[in-house]
Amino acid sequence: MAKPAPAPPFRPSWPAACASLVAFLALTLTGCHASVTGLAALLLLGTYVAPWRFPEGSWAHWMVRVMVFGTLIAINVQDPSRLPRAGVYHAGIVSAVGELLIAELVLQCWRAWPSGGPRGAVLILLSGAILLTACNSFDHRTHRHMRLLGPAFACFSVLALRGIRARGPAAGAGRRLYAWAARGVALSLALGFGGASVWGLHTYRGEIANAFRDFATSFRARARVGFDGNPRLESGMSLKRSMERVLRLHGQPAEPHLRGLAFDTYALGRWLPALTQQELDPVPIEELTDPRAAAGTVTATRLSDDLDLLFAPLHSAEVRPTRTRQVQRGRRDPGLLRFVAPAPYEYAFSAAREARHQGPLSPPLGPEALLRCLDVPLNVDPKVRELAERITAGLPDAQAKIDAVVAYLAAHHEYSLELPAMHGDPVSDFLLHERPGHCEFFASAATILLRYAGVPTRFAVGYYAHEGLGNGEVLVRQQDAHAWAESWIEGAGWVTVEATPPGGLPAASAEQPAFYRRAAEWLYDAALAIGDWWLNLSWTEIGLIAGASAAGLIAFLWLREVLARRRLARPAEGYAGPRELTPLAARFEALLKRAGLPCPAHLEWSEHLAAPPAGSGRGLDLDAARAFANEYLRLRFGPDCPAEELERLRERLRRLKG
Amino acid sequence: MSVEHLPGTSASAMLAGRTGKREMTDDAFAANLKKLETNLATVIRGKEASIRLVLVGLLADGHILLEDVPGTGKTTLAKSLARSIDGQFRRIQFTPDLLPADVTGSNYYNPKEGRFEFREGPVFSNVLLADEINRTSPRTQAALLEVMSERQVTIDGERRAMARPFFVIATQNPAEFHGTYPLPEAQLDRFMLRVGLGHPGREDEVEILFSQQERHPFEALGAVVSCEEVAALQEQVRAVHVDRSVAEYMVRVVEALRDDARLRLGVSTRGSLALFRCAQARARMSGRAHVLPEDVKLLAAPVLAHRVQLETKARYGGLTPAQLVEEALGKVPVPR
Repeated sequence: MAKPAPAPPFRPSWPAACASLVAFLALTLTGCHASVTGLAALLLLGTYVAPWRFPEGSWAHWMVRVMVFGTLIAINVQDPSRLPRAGVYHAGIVSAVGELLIAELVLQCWRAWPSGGPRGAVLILLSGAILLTACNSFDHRTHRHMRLLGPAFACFSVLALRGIRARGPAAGAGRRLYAWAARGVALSLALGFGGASVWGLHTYRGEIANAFRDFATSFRARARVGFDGNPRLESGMSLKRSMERVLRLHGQPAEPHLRGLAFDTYALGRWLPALTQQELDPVPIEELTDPRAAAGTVTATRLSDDLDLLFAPLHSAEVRPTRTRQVQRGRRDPGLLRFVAPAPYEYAFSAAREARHQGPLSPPLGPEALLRCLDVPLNVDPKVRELAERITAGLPDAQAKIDAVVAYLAAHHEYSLELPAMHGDPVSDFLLHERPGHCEFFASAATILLRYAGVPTRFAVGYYAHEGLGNGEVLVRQQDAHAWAESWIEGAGWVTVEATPPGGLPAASAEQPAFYRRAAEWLYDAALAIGDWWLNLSWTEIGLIAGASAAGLIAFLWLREVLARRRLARPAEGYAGPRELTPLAARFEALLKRAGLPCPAHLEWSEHLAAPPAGSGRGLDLDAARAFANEYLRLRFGPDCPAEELERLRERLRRLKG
Repeated sequence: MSVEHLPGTSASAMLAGRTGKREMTDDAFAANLKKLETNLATVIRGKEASIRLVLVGLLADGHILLEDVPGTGKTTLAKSLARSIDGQFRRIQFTPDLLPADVTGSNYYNPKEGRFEFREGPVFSNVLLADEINRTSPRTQAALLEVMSERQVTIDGERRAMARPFFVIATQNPAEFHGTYPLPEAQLDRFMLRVGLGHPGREDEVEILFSQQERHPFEALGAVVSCEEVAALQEQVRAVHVDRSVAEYMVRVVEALRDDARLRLGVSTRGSLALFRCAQARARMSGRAHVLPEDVKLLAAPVLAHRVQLETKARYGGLTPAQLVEEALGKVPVPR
């Protein structure tokens, strides 16, 4: 007897692999090292291509386990970001445990399992443990992902567990009773699960919709160019652009500068007060609207949850939030408006009929506030005052001074995100040594120069809208964050002073998003739309959808079963025999299957019936079945097939069935 | 498996009706077969399956390679089969110093006659026993290539055909390494079946001891069938019906082996042909006029396993060609 060939290496079933990947993703979202989970995912998928496994019974996998576990523990101990933090003090420990579980799961996939071992169940147990671990360290922002990941994990694990057979009595009446009991339990579970699902979907559909939105807006970048509520001029660093989407404008705004807030106090490279220290007062919405002055309306959808400021052009005629009346306005900068509502959130602003319209974002300031816009701290180098006087000497009015300052900056400074090391007051150093700088340097320098020249000026931050989407929409990303100056001209009001040279404006220097980013954004928007659609469903519609899905699933499973049965009954392709014999073969195959004796494709009937497994073949006369098989084979493979013998064969089959 | 025979549907009746060839009745076929089997069984005890495989090879008009460890009765079986057929039997004892001309024959100069004369080598026979075939050099082994596949030899440009039937039965001992030359693939492919004998069971071995107490039963062995009868048996076998689906099944098994990444060399078309012919022989020996997939399954390993070459990794991984053949049979669906 030949030695049996070695079994193919263990590969996790696809639902088990998907469930594991979902658990990995959950752990990644809680702040576990993405490199660890990414590598684990690659290794898990690697089992589908690599034929090698740790040999059965060897100690090699224990050695690897000790090494991997040691490395993971060392990484977690040395990582300062894993030190206990307020509120989530155990987060580091939890994700370390999760990483160890992940390592164990991957190791289990790379082990040679004895055939028939409980491999699928172990994988599901481990990935379930990883998911539970992840649940422990979800914070207020990430816990919403669980509403997507949880059901996905449940679906995959149910599919994975489907293939695992319960143990029970091997044969006889006990086996039948056990099978029926198992079916009953499975049916009750299915009904209970279905009922609970419909109830859950109806009760939590709002949360599910929010989860879609969170997913769509959670594409947070960790790059450093972006809107900053606490601007600080720093030197000696290079900045990376962030492609995160902030706003989508439906319509082209009249001017590209979407203002967030302005600062009036300068101190050693910092603009104060920081956004978090701004005092805010509630403002009635009526104060922000002026339908008489409005020309074209632009609707803005805020896509990022990080900032709840309102960004709109300085000269907007009106600003209208939707779905909320809770608007706050800055006390020092009346142009600072803040809404209290989660993203995505829509508001509208209208362009004014005239170019320099002084609307709700540009109210005149009192004398004290105006004085603050002329103040220059003492630690700014006195030579800057001389420079300002030299630039604006003999110029008659504020507008001429503004133009001269802008022209001077453009002529003597270059735009760059690579900043050299500076000394002392950044603005003085920038101006006196004609250093390169980015928009915050240009805007700060213009502000200080204009203040010395007697023009009240403040430092404004916001976004520069330029990325047209082609369908009348404009997209604003974090990389479009920009700084400029706003000057007060007597008789004209506040005007925008763009001090950055044209080559440094986001329109010229921003990076083009890659095609895959655009594709990912399109997918997120689609998810968002599905979330909105879901939120607006009625009870009846939910019931109909759930019913239709269940019916579809049942139909699919039934069809698959029928096709599988047909495939089994049909002679294998290319083997087509006499037409009159094929249906007899199909019926005989069906008969065998009903009797619990389905014949594998690679066995002959006679070979299969010669030694049926114990306890199978209930209700089937095995001798008669063997006789039928023999006679069938003679007619099937013999040179001819006489009609009377065919009839005899049919009769045998009828008797066998009866 | 036993096939129920219905009246009037005997294999010979079917064959005679279908082919119109010279009829040999079922009884005559079975009687001749029985005579051969009984004759061999008196000498080789407890090896009915191996004897049957050797007879399959004979009836399928192929050559047989008997491969097993020393002392299992390879040469005795080969000699007994040769003696059972009333034809010319010759034996070549392959030794390292044997030359091709010693096998095929050569022209020599006859000074008396003043011309070259041909002296026939041992291949000019009905049954050729090539004993210990792997003990001679590949150069001499190659002398058999032409005669085994084409049943003729070409010497000094002259073609000389063999008498029919022509049947080579070779023995080799796979356990030894020193002083042996493994058969080249082309040579192995020309053997229709490779048959192992194995050690007999305890009862059979005791029987063997007593049966040779006075003299070897081989000495009393006589011919039981004539060359013509063997040719007639072979002709009957060729007429056995093979359904297209069964032929397709054979090719699928062969293809499955060719596709196996663990094999360096797959089965040749000659291998498929051999499987076809052997299945016919087995079907006829079982009293059937048609081949069943069962015949293919039972003959696949002896017919195909010696034709494939394992990759180094698989060989050292403990796999055998027979295991791969079994695996292929486990994968290919059977026609129904």
